Amino acid sequence: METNLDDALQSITKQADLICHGNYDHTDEIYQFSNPEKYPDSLVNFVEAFGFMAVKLEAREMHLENTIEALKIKNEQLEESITRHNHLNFVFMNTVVLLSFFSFVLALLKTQSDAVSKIATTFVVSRLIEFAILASSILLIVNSKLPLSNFGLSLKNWPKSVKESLYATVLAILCCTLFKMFLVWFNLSENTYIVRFSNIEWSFAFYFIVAPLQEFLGRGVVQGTLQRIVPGKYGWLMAIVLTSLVFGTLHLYISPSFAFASMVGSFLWGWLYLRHGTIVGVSISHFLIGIWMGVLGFFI
Amino acid sequence: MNVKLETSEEYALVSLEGRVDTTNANEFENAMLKVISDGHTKIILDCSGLDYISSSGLRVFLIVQKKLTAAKGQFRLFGLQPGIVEIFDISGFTSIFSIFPNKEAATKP
Repeated sequence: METNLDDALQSITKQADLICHGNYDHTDEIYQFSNPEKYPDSLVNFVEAFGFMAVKLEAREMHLENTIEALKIKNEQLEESITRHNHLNFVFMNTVVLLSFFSFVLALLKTQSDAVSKIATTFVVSRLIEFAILASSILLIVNSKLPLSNFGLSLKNWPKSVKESLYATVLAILCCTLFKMFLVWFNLSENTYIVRFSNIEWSFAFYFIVAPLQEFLGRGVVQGTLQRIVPGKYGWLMAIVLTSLVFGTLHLYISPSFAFASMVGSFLWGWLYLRHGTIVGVSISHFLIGIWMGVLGFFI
Repeated sequence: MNVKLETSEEYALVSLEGRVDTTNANEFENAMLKVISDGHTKIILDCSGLDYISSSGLRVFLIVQKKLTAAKGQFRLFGLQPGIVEIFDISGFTSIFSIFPNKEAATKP
């Protein structure tokens, strides 16, 4: 019996040492001494009490590990939320600065009498603003540490994106042409032609760069960021509406009706961007529709 | 102690009856480990017939929980008798195990 007691004490001491080092893998070795048919009650009770304590300790440790794991997840969510909040601040500030600056420019332009000079100045100012937004957007992307694909700079889904964008573009071009025909037929248009390809001048070459640039800024940066930060089931819709309002406003310098048309176009591109998450298709669509607007004489 | 197993596409239902102590904890452990090794990652344990559990039996619960957590599975218990609930409370098991009042609640997805 004494040998048994010695063996039991040695085993329990060994297990206690292992438990102190966080090792619970061999705790079951002590249970051989808790058989009431082989060992005295005092030993059985002692082993059971020790075993219970070991199990409780192991359970507590497991609970702690689970809590730490849950806290890590919460922490990641919190950091993500802070990043989203910072993006919102950034986009909001940029939009306020942009719209304020643009409004000032428009007000200043009102004082100019020469129409050509007005358009030329606004064209230059618009490009300057786009450049400024591009620079701040690059800063935003670098600071966000998010992949470029989060801002529409991705070739993923591009064939599907191009295909759907082209279908939508053809439909939009058809609608715009019919609208122009309606305006011409009822003498509501400033010009008398339906289409005039000579409207496309060298200046439209800029559009090859401007269209993807505007899509990157409008869809990739603004709408993409809003999609991530606007909460709720219809956050995506709010993102498209807000982006389109800003997009339309930025085209006010041409005319209110053009701004409205731009807003409608922005809804279309916003929806296409939402579907594919790449600016490839929407840039092509923007370019083609923009050129066709020139052909129809809406730009002139 | 008696261990019964019923399986379905969604889960494995194990019914545990009688006493789990030093003499049969290994048997219980082997039965549970076999269910896991058979590929079941959602195990529901019916404890309504469990009368007594010793520390060696409690340890088997911890082992199963660890294995299923590692396999991103689920280990759910239901039908615990008041005496067993008390042991679970004292040992801190109630905070780490998913315990349900009945089978309907435990088998919900």
